[in-house]
Amino acid sequence: MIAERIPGILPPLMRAESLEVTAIHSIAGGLSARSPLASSAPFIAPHHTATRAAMVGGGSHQIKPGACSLAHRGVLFIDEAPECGLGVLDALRQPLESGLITISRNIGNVAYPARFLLVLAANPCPCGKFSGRGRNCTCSSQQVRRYLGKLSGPLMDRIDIRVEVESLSRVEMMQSELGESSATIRKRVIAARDIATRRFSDEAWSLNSEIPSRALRTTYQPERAAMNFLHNELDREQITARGLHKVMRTAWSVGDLVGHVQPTLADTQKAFALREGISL
Amino acid sequence: MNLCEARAILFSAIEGGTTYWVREIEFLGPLAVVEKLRTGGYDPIKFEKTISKVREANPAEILDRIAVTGSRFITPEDEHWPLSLNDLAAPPIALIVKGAIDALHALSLAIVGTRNPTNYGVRIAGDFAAGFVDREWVIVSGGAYGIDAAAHRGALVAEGITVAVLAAGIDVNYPAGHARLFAEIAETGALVSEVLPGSLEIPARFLTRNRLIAALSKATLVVEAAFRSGSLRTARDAAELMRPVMAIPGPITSPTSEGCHRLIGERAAEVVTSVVDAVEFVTSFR
Repeated sequence: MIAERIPGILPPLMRAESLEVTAIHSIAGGLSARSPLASSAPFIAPHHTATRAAMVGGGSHQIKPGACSLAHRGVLFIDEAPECGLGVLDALRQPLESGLITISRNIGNVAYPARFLLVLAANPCPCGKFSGRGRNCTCSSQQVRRYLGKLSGPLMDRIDIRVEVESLSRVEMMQSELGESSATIRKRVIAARDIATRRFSDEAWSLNSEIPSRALRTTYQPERAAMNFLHNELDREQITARGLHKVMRTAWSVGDLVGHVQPTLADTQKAFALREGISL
Repeated sequence: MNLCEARAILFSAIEGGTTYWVREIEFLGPLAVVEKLRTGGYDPIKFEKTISKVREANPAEILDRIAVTGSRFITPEDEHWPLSLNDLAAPPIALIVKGAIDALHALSLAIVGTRNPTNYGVRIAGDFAAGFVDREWVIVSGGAYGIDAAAHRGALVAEGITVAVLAAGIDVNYPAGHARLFAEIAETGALVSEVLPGSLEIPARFLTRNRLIAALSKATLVVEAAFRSGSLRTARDAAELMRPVMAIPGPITSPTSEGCHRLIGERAAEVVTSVVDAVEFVTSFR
Protein backbone atom coordinates (compact mmCIF):
# COMPACT_ATOMS: atom_id res chain seq x y z
CA MET A 1 0.00 0.00 0.00
CA ILE A 2 2.53 2.59 1.14
CA ALA A 3 5.19 1.39 -1.28
CA GLU A 4 2.91 1.70 -4.30
CA ARG A 5 2.30 5.31 -3.41
CA ILE A 6 5.94 6.32 -3.26
CA PRO A 7 6.17 7.20 -6.99
CA GLY A 8 3.24 9.55 -6.36
CA ILE A 9 5.36 11.75 -4.10
CA LEU A 10 8.47 11.68 -6.28
CA PRO A 11 9.13 14.70 -8.50
CA PRO A 12 8.64 14.24 -12.27
CA LEU A 13 11.69 12.99 -14.14
CA MET A 14 13.99 15.61 -15.57
CA ARG A 15 14.69 15.49 -19.29
CA ALA A 16 17.97 13.61 -19.02
CA GLU A 17 16.55 11.16 -16.49
CA SER A 18 13.51 10.59 -18.63
CA LEU A 19 15.71 9.68 -21.59
CA GLU A 20 17.73 7.22 -19.48
CA VAL A 21 14.60 5.52 -18.19
CA THR A 22 13.07 5.42 -21.66
CA ALA A 23 16.24 3.88 -23.11
CA ILE A 24 16.30 1.08 -20.53
CA HIS A 25 12.63 0.31 -20.90
CA SER A 26 13.01 0.37 -24.68
CA ILE A 27 15.74 -2.32 -24.49
CA ALA A 28 13.51 -4.38 -22.24
CA GLY A 29 10.64 -3.92 -24.68
CA GLY A 30 8.42 -2.40 -22.06
CA LEU A 31 7.37 0.84 -23.75
CA SER A 32 3.81 1.11 -24.92
CA ALA A 33 2.74 3.03 -28.01
CA ARG A 34 0.69 5.37 -25.89
CA SER A 35 3.55 6.59 -23.71
CA PRO A 36 6.73 6.36 -25.77
CA LEU A 37 8.58 8.64 -23.35
CA ALA A 38 8.72 7.80 -19.66
CA SER A 39 7.91 10.96 -17.76
CA SER A 40 7.28 9.75 -14.25
CA ALA A 41 9.35 7.64 -11.89
CA PRO A 42 8.94 3.92 -12.65
CA PHE A 43 7.60 1.55 -10.02
CA ILE A 44 8.87 -2.02 -10.37
CA ALA A 45 7.61 -4.72 -8.05
CA PRO A 46 9.11 -8.13 -8.87
CA HIS A 47 7.58 -11.12 -7.10
CA HIS A 48 9.66 -12.62 -4.32
CA THR A 49 10.23 -15.75 -6.39
CA ALA A 50 12.23 -13.71 -8.96
CA THR A 51 15.67 -15.08 -9.79
CA ARG A 52 18.95 -13.27 -9.48
CA ALA A 53 19.04 -12.79 -13.26
CA ALA A 54 15.55 -11.29 -13.20
CA MET A 55 16.66 -8.91 -10.48
CA VAL A 56 19.98 -7.66 -11.89
CA GLY A 57 19.58 -8.52 -15.57
CA GLY A 58 21.00 -11.20 -17.84
CA GLY A 59 20.30 -13.39 -20.83
CA SER A 60 22.52 -15.46 -23.09
CA HIS A 61 21.69 -14.05 -26.55
CA GLN A 62 20.97 -10.52 -25.59
CA ILE A 63 21.74 -9.12 -22.17
CA LYS A 64 18.53 -7.55 -20.94
CA PRO A 65 18.18 -5.19 -18.01
CA GLY A 66 16.78 -6.67 -14.81
CA ALA A 67 14.30 -5.29 -12.33
CA CYS A 68 16.90 -3.11 -10.63
CA SER A 69 17.69 -1.34 -13.93
CA LEU A 70 14.04 -1.04 -14.90
CA ALA A 71 13.56 0.71 -11.56
CA HIS A 72 16.31 3.21 -12.44
CA ARG A 73 15.29 6.69 -11.18
CA GLY A 74 12.25 5.09 -9.61
CA VAL A 75 11.22 2.57 -7.00
CA LEU A 76 12.11 -1.12 -6.72
CA PHE A 77 9.65 -2.67 -4.34
CA ILE A 78 10.02 -6.23 -3.05
CA ASP A 79 7.16 -7.48 -0.94
CA GLU A 80 7.71 -10.37 1.51
CA ALA A 81 11.44 -9.75 1.15
CA PRO A 82 12.60 -12.56 3.53
CA GLU A 83 10.90 -15.07 1.22
CA CYS A 84 13.30 -14.16 -1.60
CA GLY A 85 15.70 -16.79 -2.87
CA LEU A 86 19.20 -17.12 -1.54
CA GLY A 87 21.43 -14.31 -2.75
CA VAL A 88 18.72 -12.50 -4.71
CA LEU A 89 18.55 -9.55 -2.35
CA ASP A 90 22.29 -9.50 -1.77
CA ALA A 91 22.79 -9.19 -5.52
CA LEU A 92 21.31 -5.71 -5.10
CA ARG A 93 24.07 -4.59 -2.77
CA GLN A 94 26.51 -3.60 -5.49
CA PRO A 95 24.05 -1.56 -7.60
CA LEU A 96 22.78 0.10 -4.40
CA GLU A 97 26.30 1.31 -3.75
CA SER A 98 27.41 2.29 -7.25
CA GLY A 99 24.13 3.00 -9.06
CA LEU A 100 25.36 0.75 -11.86
CA ILE A 101 25.14 -2.96 -12.59
CA THR A 102 27.70 -4.73 -14.78
CA ILE A 103 26.53 -8.02 -16.26
CA SER A 104 29.08 -10.36 -17.76
CA ARG A 105 28.09 -13.11 -20.19
CA ASN A 106 30.09 -14.87 -22.92
CA ILE A 107 28.69 -12.47 -25.51
CA GLY A 108 30.18 -9.54 -23.63
CA ASN A 109 29.81 -7.18 -20.72
CA VAL A 110 27.04 -4.69 -20.35
CA ALA A 111 26.70 -2.00 -17.73
CA TYR A 112 23.18 -0.77 -17.09
CA PRO A 113 22.38 2.16 -14.84
CA ALA A 114 20.56 1.11 -11.67
CA ARG A 115 20.02 4.05 -9.36
CA PHE A 116 16.80 3.10 -7.65
CA LEU A 117 15.00 3.54 -4.39
CA LEU A 118 14.82 0.13 -2.75
CA VAL A 119 11.71 -0.60 -0.70
CA LEU A 120 11.46 -3.90 1.16
CA ALA A 121 8.47 -5.18 3.08
CA ALA A 122 8.46 -8.03 5.59
CA ASN A 123 6.23 -9.56 8.20
CA PRO A 124 7.45 -9.50 11.81
CA CYS A 125 7.66 -13.32 11.81
CA PRO A 126 6.78 -16.29 9.54
CA CYS A 127 3.23 -16.56 10.92
CA GLY A 128 2.76 -12.79 10.74
CA LYS A 129 1.10 -12.43 14.12
CA PHE A 130 4.00 -11.15 16.20
CA SER A 131 2.52 -7.72 16.69
CA GLY A 132 0.28 -6.07 19.23
CA ARG A 133 0.43 -8.26 22.29
CA GLY A 134 1.80 -11.08 20.18
CA ARG A 135 -0.15 -13.78 21.92
CA ASN A 136 -1.38 -15.41 18.72
CA CYS A 137 2.12 -15.84 17.35
CA THR A 138 3.15 -19.47 17.10
CA CYS A 139 6.73 -18.94 15.93
CA SER A 140 9.74 -19.98 17.97
CA SER A 141 12.40 -17.40 18.56
CA GLN A 142 14.68 -19.32 16.24
CA GLN A 143 12.12 -19.20 13.43
CA VAL A 144 11.78 -15.45 13.83
CA ARG A 145 15.55 -15.02 13.88
CA ARG A 146 15.98 -17.17 10.77
CA TYR A 147 13.17 -15.37 8.94
CA LEU A 148 14.49 -11.87 9.50
CA GLY A 149 18.05 -13.17 9.17
CA LYS A 150 17.36 -13.64 5.45
CA LEU A 151 17.84 -9.89 5.24
CA SER A 152 21.61 -9.86 5.59
CA GLY A 153 23.47 -7.38 7.77
CA PRO A 154 25.29 -5.67 4.88
CA LEU A 155 21.97 -5.26 3.04
CA MET A 156 20.20 -3.84 6.09
CA ASP A 157 23.18 -1.54 6.62
CA ARG A 158 22.23 0.07 3.28
CA ILE A 159 18.64 0.71 4.32
CA ASP A 160 18.12 4.34 5.36
CA ILE A 161 14.62 4.27 6.79
CA ARG A 162 12.91 1.52 8.75
CA VAL A 163 9.28 1.81 9.66
CA GLU A 164 7.26 -0.55 11.77
CA VAL A 165 3.71 -0.59 10.46
CA GLU A 166 1.26 -1.22 13.25
CA SER A 167 -1.98 -2.97 12.45
CA LEU A 168 -4.93 -0.59 12.05
CA SER A 169 -6.63 0.36 15.28
CA ARG A 170 -10.38 0.63 15.65
CA VAL A 171 -10.31 4.40 15.64
CA GLU A 172 -8.17 4.57 12.52
CA MET A 173 -10.52 2.10 10.85
CA MET A 174 -13.54 4.31 11.54
CA GLN A 175 -11.90 7.55 10.50
CA SER A 176 -13.59 9.07 7.50
CA GLU A 177 -11.12 11.83 6.78
CA LEU A 178 -8.14 10.64 4.85
CA GLY A 179 -4.53 11.44 5.60
CA GLU A 180 -2.46 13.94 3.71
CA SER A 181 -2.71 13.44 -0.03
CA SER A 182 0.29 12.43 -2.11
CA ALA A 183 -0.01 15.65 -4.07
CA THR A 184 0.58 17.77 -0.95
CA ILE A 185 3.55 15.66 0.10
CA ARG A 186 4.89 15.78 -3.42
CA LYS A 187 5.02 19.59 -3.27
CA ARG A 188 7.23 19.40 -0.20
CA VAL A 189 9.47 16.82 -1.84
CA ILE A 190 9.83 18.94 -4.97
CA ALA A 191 10.72 21.99 -2.85
CA ALA A 192 13.32 20.01 -0.91
CA ARG A 193 14.79 18.59 -4.12
CA ASP A 194 15.05 22.12 -5.54
CA ILE A 195 17.02 23.26 -2.51
CA ALA A 196 19.36 20.28 -2.91
CA THR A 197 19.78 20.83 -6.64
CA ARG A 198 20.63 24.49 -6.10
CA ARG A 199 23.10 23.62 -3.36
CA PHE A 200 24.83 21.09 -5.58
CA SER A 201 24.79 23.27 -8.72
CA ASP A 202 28.59 23.36 -8.80
CA GLU A 203 28.98 19.67 -8.00
CA ALA A 204 28.91 16.52 -10.07
CA TRP A 205 25.83 15.21 -8.30
CA SER A 206 22.39 16.57 -7.56
CA LEU A 207 20.83 14.38 -4.85
CA ASN A 208 21.64 14.08 -1.16
CA SER A 209 21.95 10.32 -1.53
CA GLU A 210 24.75 10.87 -4.04
CA ILE A 211 27.01 13.04 -1.87
CA PRO A 212 30.41 11.26 -1.86
CA SER A 213 31.71 10.35 1.57
CA ARG A 214 34.72 12.63 1.20
CA ALA A 215 32.46 15.62 0.62
CA LEU A 216 30.43 14.60 3.68
CA ARG A 217 33.54 14.90 5.79
CA THR A 218 34.50 18.30 4.40
CA THR A 219 32.07 20.71 2.72
CA TYR A 220 28.84 18.91 3.50
CA GLN A 221 29.20 18.17 7.17
CA PRO A 222 26.25 18.60 9.54
CA GLU A 223 26.62 20.88 12.56
CA ARG A 224 29.36 20.29 15.11
CA ALA A 225 26.92 19.01 17.75
CA ALA A 226 25.40 16.60 15.25
CA MET A 227 28.83 15.22 14.40
CA ASN A 228 29.61 14.74 18.10
CA PHE A 229 26.40 12.76 18.44
CA LEU A 230 27.25 10.56 15.46
CA HIS A 231 30.83 9.96 16.55
CA ASN A 232 29.55 8.98 19.96
CA GLU A 233 27.26 6.39 18.37
CA LEU A 234 30.18 5.15 16.27
CA ASP A 235 32.36 4.77 19.37
CA ARG A 236 29.67 2.76 21.07
CA GLU A 237 29.47 0.52 18.00
CA GLN A 238 25.81 1.39 17.51
CA ILE A 239 26.50 2.33 13.92
CA THR A 240 28.96 1.37 11.18
CA ALA A 241 31.13 3.75 9.20
CA ARG A 242 28.88 3.28 6.18
CA GLY A 243 25.88 3.81 8.42
CA LEU A 244 27.37 7.06 9.70
CA HIS A 245 27.67 8.42 6.16
CA LYS A 246 24.19 7.23 5.30
CA VAL A 247 22.73 8.99 8.34
CA MET A 248 24.50 12.19 7.31
CA ARG A 249 22.93 11.98 3.83
CA THR A 250 19.48 11.36 5.28
CA ALA A 251 20.06 14.25 7.69
CA TRP A 252 20.58 16.55 4.69
CA SER A 253 17.20 15.43 3.32
CA VAL A 254 15.55 15.93 6.70
CA GLY A 255 17.10 19.39 6.89
CA ASP A 256 16.02 20.27 3.34
CA LEU A 257 12.41 19.36 4.13
CA VAL A 258 12.30 21.86 6.99
CA GLY A 259 14.48 24.43 5.23
CA HIS A 260 17.66 24.29 7.32
CA VAL A 261 20.84 25.50 5.63
CA GLN A 262 22.90 22.84 7.37
CA PRO A 263 21.57 19.74 9.18
CA THR A 264 21.17 20.47 12.89
CA LEU A 265 21.55 18.06 15.80
CA ALA A 266 17.78 17.45 15.76
CA ASP A 267 17.80 16.71 12.01
CA THR A 268 20.64 14.24 12.45
CA GLN A 269 19.01 12.57 15.43
CA LYS A 270 15.84 12.22 13.41
CA ALA A 271 17.77 10.68 10.52
CA PHE A 272 19.41 8.28 12.98
CA ALA A 273 16.07 7.35 14.52
CA LEU A 274 14.60 6.72 11.07
CA ARG A 275 17.48 4.43 10.27
CA GLU A 276 17.24 2.53 13.55
CA GLY A 277 13.45 2.34 13.43
CA ILE A 278 13.21 3.76 16.95
CA SER A 279 11.75 6.95 18.28
CA LEU A 280 14.40 8.86 20.16
CA MET B 1 38.74 -39.66 47.84
CA ASN B 2 38.66 -36.06 49.00
CA LEU B 3 35.78 -33.59 49.12
CA CYS B 4 36.61 -32.12 45.74
CA GLU B 5 36.63 -35.55 44.09
CA ALA B 6 33.37 -36.50 45.77
CA ARG B 7 31.81 -33.30 44.47
CA ALA B 8 33.19 -34.03 40.99
CA ILE B 9 31.49 -37.44 41.03
CA LEU B 10 28.17 -36.00 42.17
CA PHE B 11 28.51 -33.10 39.72
CA SER B 12 28.87 -35.55 36.84
CA ALA B 13 25.95 -37.72 37.96
CA ILE B 14 23.34 -35.22 39.11
CA GLU B 15 21.68 -32.54 36.99
CA GLY B 16 21.85 -29.05 38.54
CA GLY B 17 18.96 -27.70 40.58
CA THR B 18 17.73 -31.05 41.96
CA THR B 19 16.54 -30.10 45.42
CA TYR B 20 16.47 -33.66 46.80
CA TRP B 21 20.14 -34.35 46.14
CA VAL B 22 21.25 -30.90 47.19
CA ARG B 23 19.54 -31.48 50.58
CA GLU B 24 21.12 -34.93 50.92
CA ILE B 25 24.57 -33.49 50.21
CA GLU B 26 23.97 -30.68 52.67
CA PHE B 27 22.92 -33.04 55.50
CA LEU B 28 25.22 -36.01 54.94
CA GLY B 29 28.15 -34.34 53.21
CA PRO B 30 29.38 -35.19 49.69
CA LEU B 31 31.62 -38.08 50.80
CA ALA B 32 28.83 -39.88 52.61
CA VAL B 33 26.37 -39.39 49.74
CA VAL B 34 28.83 -40.90 47.23
CA GLU B 35 29.47 -43.80 49.59
CA LYS B 36 25.76 -44.35 50.18
CA LEU B 37 25.08 -44.27 46.41
CA ARG B 38 27.85 -46.76 45.73
CA THR B 39 26.84 -49.17 48.44
CA GLY B 40 23.16 -49.20 47.50
CA GLY B 41 21.81 -47.00 50.27
CA TYR B 42 19.27 -45.42 47.91
CA ASP B 43 16.29 -46.95 46.09
CA PRO B 44 18.00 -48.88 43.22
CA ILE B 45 15.02 -48.53 40.87
CA LYS B 46 14.12 -44.89 41.42
CA PHE B 47 17.74 -43.70 41.32
CA GLU B 48 19.00 -46.29 38.85
CA LYS B 49 20.64 -43.80 36.48
CA THR B 50 22.28 -41.72 39.19
CA ILE B 51 23.65 -44.80 40.95
CA SER B 52 25.13 -46.29 37.79
CA LYS B 53 26.68 -42.93 36.85
CA VAL B 54 28.26 -42.60 40.30
CA ARG B 55 29.63 -46.16 40.17
CA GLU B 56 31.18 -45.56 36.75
CA ALA B 57 32.54 -42.08 37.54
CA ASN B 58 36.27 -41.60 37.71
CA PRO B 59 36.98 -38.35 39.58
CA ALA B 60 40.51 -37.94 38.26
CA GLU B 61 39.28 -38.23 34.69
CA ILE B 62 36.43 -35.76 35.31
CA LEU B 63 38.80 -33.18 36.81
CA ASP B 64 41.18 -33.74 33.89
CA ARG B 65 38.42 -33.13 31.37
CA ILE B 66 37.67 -29.83 33.11
CA ALA B 67 41.33 -28.82 33.32
CA VAL B 68 41.80 -29.47 29.58
CA THR B 69 39.24 -26.77 28.74
CA GLY B 70 41.33 -24.23 30.66
CA SER B 71 38.68 -23.74 33.28
CA ARG B 72 38.48 -24.34 37.01
CA PHE B 73 36.25 -26.58 39.06
CA ILE B 74 35.09 -24.77 42.18
CA THR B 75 33.09 -26.22 45.03
CA PRO B 76 31.32 -24.64 48.02
CA GLU B 77 34.37 -25.60 50.12
CA ASP B 78 36.54 -23.48 47.84
CA GLU B 79 37.60 -20.01 49.01
CA HIS B 80 36.52 -18.66 45.61
CA TRP B 81 32.96 -19.97 45.94
CA PRO B 82 30.48 -17.12 45.42
CA LEU B 83 28.56 -17.12 48.70
CA SER B 84 25.57 -15.45 47.07
CA LEU B 85 24.76 -18.84 45.50
CA ASN B 86 24.07 -20.34 48.92
CA ASP B 87 20.85 -18.30 49.09
CA LEU B 88 19.35 -20.63 46.50
CA ALA B 89 16.94 -23.39 47.46
CA ALA B 90 19.14 -25.72 45.46
CA PRO B 91 22.67 -24.30 45.21
CA PRO B 92 24.85 -25.92 42.56
CA ILE B 93 26.93 -28.94 43.64
CA ALA B 94 29.90 -27.24 42.02
CA LEU B 95 30.63 -24.83 39.18
CA ILE B 96 32.96 -24.72 36.25
CA VAL B 97 34.44 -21.27 35.76
CA LYS B 98 36.62 -20.00 32.94
CA GLY B 99 38.29 -16.63 33.23
CA ALA B 100 38.43 -14.31 36.22
CA ILE B 101 36.82 -15.93 39.25
CA ASP B 102 36.91 -12.57 41.07
CA ALA B 103 34.19 -11.37 38.71
CA LEU B 104 31.74 -13.64 40.55
CA HIS B 105 32.35 -11.78 43.81
CA ALA B 106 31.90 -8.26 42.50
CA LEU B 107 28.79 -6.12 42.76
CA SER B 108 26.81 -7.26 39.78
CA LEU B 109 23.67 -6.62 37.77
CA ALA B 110 21.89 -9.34 35.78
CA ILE B 111 20.48 -8.15 32.46
CA VAL B 112 18.07 -10.60 30.87
CA GLY B 113 15.53 -10.55 28.06
CA THR B 114 14.23 -11.98 24.84
CA ARG B 115 16.24 -13.62 22.08
CA ASN B 116 14.26 -11.57 19.54
CA PRO B 117 14.66 -8.04 20.73
CA THR B 118 13.72 -4.90 18.87
CA ASN B 119 16.36 -2.26 18.23
CA TYR B 120 14.99 -0.50 21.28
CA GLY B 121 15.76 -3.47 23.51
CA VAL B 122 19.24 -3.98 22.10
CA ARG B 123 20.01 -0.33 22.63
CA ILE B 124 18.63 -0.21 26.15
CA ALA B 125 20.42 -3.41 27.18
CA GLY B 126 23.71 -2.06 25.84
CA ASP B 127 23.23 1.36 27.43
CA PHE B 128 22.34 -0.05 30.84
CA ALA B 129 25.23 -2.50 30.74
CA ALA B 130 27.62 0.33 29.87
CA GLY B 131 26.06 2.64 32.45
CA PHE B 132 26.45 0.11 35.25
CA VAL B 133 29.96 -0.77 34.12
CA ASP B 134 30.86 2.91 34.38
CA ARG B 135 29.80 2.69 38.03
CA GLU B 136 32.10 -0.30 38.53
CA TRP B 137 29.40 -2.94 38.43
CA VAL B 138 29.86 -6.32 36.78
CA ILE B 139 27.22 -7.51 34.30
CA VAL B 140 25.80 -11.04 34.47
CA SER B 141 23.71 -12.59 31.70
CA GLY B 142 23.17 -15.74 29.67
CA GLY B 143 24.83 -16.58 26.38
CA ALA B 144 21.86 -16.36 24.03
CA TYR B 145 21.26 -14.12 21.06
CA GLY B 146 19.37 -10.92 21.65
CA ILE B 147 19.34 -9.09 24.96
CA ASP B 148 22.00 -11.36 26.53
CA ALA B 149 24.47 -10.62 23.76
CA ALA B 150 23.57 -6.91 23.71
CA ALA B 151 24.25 -6.66 27.46
CA HIS B 152 27.65 -8.37 27.15
CA ARG B 153 28.59 -6.21 24.17
CA GLY B 154 27.55 -3.05 25.99
CA ALA B 155 29.72 -4.03 28.95
CA LEU B 156 32.68 -4.91 26.72
CA VAL B 157 32.43 -1.68 24.73
CA ALA B 158 32.53 0.24 28.02
CA GLU B 159 35.63 -1.82 28.90
CA GLY B 160 33.88 -3.49 31.78
CA ILE B 161 33.73 -6.97 33.21
CA THR B 162 30.92 -9.29 32.27
CA VAL B 163 29.93 -12.83 33.22
CA ALA B 164 28.07 -15.27 30.96
CA VAL B 165 26.27 -18.15 32.63
CA LEU B 166 26.00 -20.90 30.03
CA ALA B 167 23.39 -23.62 29.77
CA ALA B 168 25.74 -25.98 27.92
CA GLY B 169 29.26 -27.20 28.71
CA ILE B 170 31.97 -24.58 29.13
CA ASP B 171 33.65 -25.70 25.87
CA VAL B 172 30.40 -25.91 23.87
CA ASN B 173 29.82 -22.66 22.06
CA TYR B 174 26.07 -22.42 22.09
CA PRO B 175 24.89 -20.62 20.06
CA ALA B 176 27.86 -21.23 17.74
CA GLY B 177 27.66 -17.64 16.47
CA HIS B 178 28.79 -16.44 19.88
CA ALA B 179 32.11 -18.29 19.98
CA ARG B 180 34.04 -15.05 19.56
CA LEU B 181 31.88 -13.18 22.08
CA PHE B 182 32.47 -15.92 24.68
CA ALA B 183 36.23 -15.76 24.09
CA GLU B 184 36.13 -12.00 24.53
CA ILE B 185 34.08 -12.28 27.74
CA ALA B 186 36.52 -14.79 29.22
CA GLU B 187 39.46 -12.41 28.62
CA THR B 188 38.44 -10.03 31.37
CA GLY B 189 35.29 -11.57 32.82
CA ALA B 190 34.14 -15.12 33.30
CA LEU B 191 32.14 -17.94 31.74
CA VAL B 192 30.21 -20.11 34.18
CA SER B 193 28.65 -23.52 33.59
CA GLU B 194 26.89 -25.98 35.84
CA VAL B 195 27.34 -29.00 33.56
CA LEU B 196 30.33 -31.07 32.46
CA PRO B 197 32.36 -29.91 29.46
CA GLY B 198 30.86 -31.28 26.26
CA SER B 199 27.30 -31.36 27.64
CA LEU B 200 24.70 -30.05 25.27
CA GLU B 201 22.08 -27.46 26.03
CA ILE B 202 18.66 -28.94 26.73
CA PRO B 203 15.55 -26.87 27.52
CA ALA B 204 15.52 -27.81 31.21
CA ARG B 205 19.09 -26.56 31.61
CA PHE B 206 18.07 -23.07 30.53
CA LEU B 207 15.64 -22.87 33.42
CA THR B 208 18.10 -24.21 36.01
CA ARG B 209 20.73 -21.89 34.56
CA ASN B 210 18.39 -18.90 35.03
CA ARG B 211 18.43 -19.37 38.81
CA LEU B 212 22.23 -19.00 38.76
CA ILE B 213 21.97 -15.70 36.90
CA ALA B 214 19.52 -14.45 39.52
CA ALA B 215 21.64 -15.69 42.43
CA LEU B 216 25.01 -14.48 41.16
CA SER B 217 23.83 -10.89 40.86
CA LYS B 218 22.71 -8.31 43.34
CA ALA B 219 19.84 -7.12 41.17
CA THR B 220 18.07 -8.21 37.99
CA LEU B 221 16.99 -6.06 35.10
CA VAL B 222 14.51 -7.38 32.51
CA VAL B 223 14.85 -5.39 29.32
CA GLU B 224 12.45 -6.98 26.85
CA ALA B 225 10.53 -10.19 27.42
CA ALA B 226 7.57 -11.74 25.64
CA PHE B 227 4.49 -12.88 27.55
CA ARG B 228 5.94 -16.35 27.94
CA SER B 229 9.65 -15.95 28.41
CA GLY B 230 12.50 -17.61 30.24
CA SER B 231 13.64 -14.19 31.41
CA LEU B 232 10.52 -13.98 33.56
CA ARG B 233 11.76 -17.14 35.29
CA THR B 234 15.01 -15.35 36.14
CA ALA B 235 13.03 -12.40 37.45
CA ARG B 236 10.91 -14.65 39.67
CA ASP B 237 13.99 -16.51 40.89
CA ALA B 238 15.54 -13.18 41.83
CA ALA B 239 12.37 -12.10 43.63
CA GLU B 240 12.36 -15.35 45.61
CA LEU B 241 15.91 -14.58 46.72
CA MET B 242 14.67 -11.14 47.84
CA ARG B 243 16.90 -9.47 45.27
CA PRO B 244 15.60 -6.30 43.61
CA VAL B 245 14.02 -6.81 40.18
CA MET B 246 13.64 -4.03 37.64
CA ALA B 247 11.89 -3.95 34.29
CA ILE B 248 12.12 -1.56 31.38
CA PRO B 249 8.73 -0.54 30.02
CA GLY B 250 8.05 -0.38 26.29
CA PRO B 251 5.13 0.48 24.04
CA ILE B 252 2.00 -1.47 25.01
CA THR B 253 1.69 -2.46 21.37
CA SER B 254 5.06 -4.24 21.39
CA PRO B 255 4.86 -8.01 21.97
CA THR B 256 8.44 -8.05 23.24
CA SER B 257 7.59 -5.72 26.11
CA GLU B 258 4.57 -7.74 27.20
CA GLY B 259 6.51 -9.74 29.81
CA CYS B 260 8.02 -6.62 31.34
CA HIS B 261 4.59 -5.06 31.63
CA ARG B 262 3.32 -8.24 33.23
CA LEU B 263 6.04 -8.08 35.89
CA ILE B 264 5.35 -4.41 36.49
CA GLY B 265 1.61 -5.01 36.66
CA GLU B 266 2.05 -7.75 39.21
CA ARG B 267 4.25 -5.42 41.27
CA ALA B 268 7.00 -8.00 40.86
CA ALA B 269 9.36 -5.50 39.30
CA GLU B 270 10.17 -1.83 39.68
CA VAL B 271 9.84 0.38 36.61
CA VAL B 272 13.14 1.97 35.68
CA THR B 273 13.60 4.43 32.88
CA SER B 274 17.24 5.45 33.18
CA VAL B 275 20.55 4.13 34.47
CA VAL B 276 20.48 6.75 37.22
CA ASP B 277 17.02 5.57 38.31
CA ALA B 278 18.16 1.97 38.35
CA VAL B 279 21.33 2.67 40.31
CA GLU B 280 19.36 4.64 42.86
CA PHE B 281 16.81 1.84 43.22
CA VAL B 282 19.31 -0.98 43.70
CA THR B 283 21.53 0.93 46.08
CA SER B 284 18.53 1.67 48.30
CA PHE B 285 18.42 -2.08 48.99
CA ARG B 286 21.83 -2.27 50.60
